[in-house]
Amino acid sequence: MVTLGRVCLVLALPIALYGIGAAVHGGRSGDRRWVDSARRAVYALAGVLTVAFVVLEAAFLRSDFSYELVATHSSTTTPAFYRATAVWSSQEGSLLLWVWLLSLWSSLVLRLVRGRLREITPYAIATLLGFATFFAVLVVFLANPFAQASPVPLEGTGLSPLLRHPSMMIHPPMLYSGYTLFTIPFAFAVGALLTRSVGMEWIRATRRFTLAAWFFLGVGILLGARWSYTELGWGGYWAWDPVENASLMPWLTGTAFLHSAMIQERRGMLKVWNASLVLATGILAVLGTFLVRSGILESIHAFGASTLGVPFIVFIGILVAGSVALVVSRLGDLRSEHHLDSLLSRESVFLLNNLVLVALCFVIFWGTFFFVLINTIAGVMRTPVAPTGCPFAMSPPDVLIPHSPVGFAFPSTQ
Amino acid sequence: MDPNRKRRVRLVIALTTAVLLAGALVYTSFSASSETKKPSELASATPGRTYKLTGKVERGYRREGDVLVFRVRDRDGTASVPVRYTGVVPDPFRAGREVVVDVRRQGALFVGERDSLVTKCPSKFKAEKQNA
Repeated sequence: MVTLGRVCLVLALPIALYGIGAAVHGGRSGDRRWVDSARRAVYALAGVLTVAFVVLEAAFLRSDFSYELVATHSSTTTPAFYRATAVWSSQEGSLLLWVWLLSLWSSLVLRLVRGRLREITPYAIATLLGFATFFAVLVVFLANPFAQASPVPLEGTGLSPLLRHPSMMIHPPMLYSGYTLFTIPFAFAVGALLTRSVGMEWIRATRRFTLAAWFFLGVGILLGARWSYTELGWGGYWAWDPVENASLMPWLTGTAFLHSAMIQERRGMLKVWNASLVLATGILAVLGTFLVRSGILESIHAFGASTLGVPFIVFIGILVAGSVALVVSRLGDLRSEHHLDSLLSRESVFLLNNLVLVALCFVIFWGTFFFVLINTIAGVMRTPVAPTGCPFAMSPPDVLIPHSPVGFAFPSTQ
Repeated sequence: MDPNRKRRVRLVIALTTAVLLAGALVYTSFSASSETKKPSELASATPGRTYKLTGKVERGYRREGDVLVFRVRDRDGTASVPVRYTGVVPDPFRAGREVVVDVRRQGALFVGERDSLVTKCPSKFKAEKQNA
């Protein structure tokens, strides 16, 4: 079985690479057969990753200690419920979960938009498969979930007692669903910008996925806060820990995007803002995974392993540079069709709520990475800015204030 | 008012606000943050200044009335510092567990701030001998 899992995982890489090539070729040449082939590559990717994930899950449920991952994260005395969840307690398993969920959502969106968005779809496929390729490289070369234990132990070390909590079943998959779903609007935004098809179609086509991402990430954050509260010693509901902050940042920008997208839909305004927001949200989703898995920041979540830091930084760097270049090069196509005429219009209030949400995100980003900046400049290691004493500090309920229907109380700009 | 002039005024107000907020943020970052230190980095700790001490709890911790006395050592090293802490002790606290606690230096000792002790959430269970 371990061979089957490993083979499926290794197969994921050439499938993803082929899909990228086919999608780009199909997009450039206009030959639909290549685009269809790329779509089928995404389905195939979902298939092999499903097999790989099921094999790993079965190994945990059977307590097969010939898998190093099972031996170090589970045991025969671990209850079956927690054996099932132990897969994503590990770095290798959670990265596999990430790319597996990504492949499932990608397949779903491509199924739903079949026959529509013909110009955008090839590049969206290539972008989605680009994400998949990166995570496939991680699990194939750097964090192999199918490594074999030698010698095979008679008993595993068991799941950490701190992780034996009902939330373990749902909190990580919810967060990862949120992160991976945010790559869908990101990919279609890239496709729209590349093809200069910057109308409303891509936003409408991916709205359900953006809403689902926002919902799953929100529920994941709330479950995590509840878990942290019940676990005496994790700092209560919210400790402004880097890993907690990492999940909140894309949720804030995603919330802003859901609001401002309405203005673009109805008035043809805020196109640059929306494109920037959706790209930033996708990047922040990857950044969230990076913060949890790299160990670059001191966190109460001690999952970090620094071996993945460099690949993540390179990948995020490429995403940021590519996104900025794409938006800047398409400024002419993203010109607003109307201007804000009044500060008391619905559009102005929506923009204001967006600015507040993005400002909150920036403050959290700054606070989270402040020590890295200082460490780099002065060689001094600092923790994130404590919420106490910070004039911009907020509690999670505070973010609900700008996210309110107050904008609808104002008339639309005429 | 001329629409162009109106737009310029709005831009100036928005930029001024952004600069003021950014300045306040930078100021707060330097004045309200505390340094995270491993035990090996606390040799030159300034008395009276607050640090976030992070590391593993050594075996042999004990209670002296309301005070918890323990040593924290580097995650991957042997350097350790003594800590006297008063306040809520998390359930998962035990030898070998990674903790974070706000401390101030008092002579050779580090005194923990009340209720600041937090245990880290590990992904792997590494059993270590419990405190005797």
